Amino acid sequence: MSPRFAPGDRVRVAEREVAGHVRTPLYIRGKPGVIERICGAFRNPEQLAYGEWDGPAVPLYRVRFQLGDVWPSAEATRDTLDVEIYEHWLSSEPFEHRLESKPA
Amino acid sequence: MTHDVGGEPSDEAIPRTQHPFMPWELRVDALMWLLTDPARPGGPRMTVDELRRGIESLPADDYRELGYYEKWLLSMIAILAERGIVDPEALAGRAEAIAHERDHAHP
Repeated sequence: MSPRFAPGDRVRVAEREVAGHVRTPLYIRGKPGVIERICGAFRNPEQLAYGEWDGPAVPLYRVRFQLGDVWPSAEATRDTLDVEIYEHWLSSEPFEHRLESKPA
Repeated sequence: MTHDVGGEPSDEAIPRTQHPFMPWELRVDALMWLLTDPARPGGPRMTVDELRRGIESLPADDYRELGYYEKWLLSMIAILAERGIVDPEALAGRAEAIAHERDHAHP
């Protein structure tokens, strides 16, 4: 499975609620970020946690978020936070959205 | 979702010192390495992802109150029971017998 995103791409984490084991923390769901690097491809923890050990490897990305996008009330809104997220949790983010979410 | 607390406000201070490990904690850690080792004959018996799933499935009170390796151990037992490798009743019986021996040991 070749990676769909490249470093510098703007993405957004899916907002979906999932029962069971996932590695995408709640606080980052729905947030916009930028691909910092491709970490490689690994089997999906959502399958590995339920006895499905032979599933396909899924691209994993390190995604960089601005603190202000994650927690608007954060003191250091320009600080960044990196979270490693599997590809099926990410979608492309249009550039305009980025401008809207900038602090006034 | 008891476990997924990142970003939640809390008044509790985070302890930043590491306590020394008890021998049983090291054993639990070693057992997990053996159970997940792909080089073992017969292949791995469980995955670290299953360990996490088992921990996240603990009752909320257990999740908050138990220690790190206590949670590991309960999860390992649950996952191995799912797979039919461990019989939780037999295990509980054995634990009871060991506790009985300990409490009624002749000097």
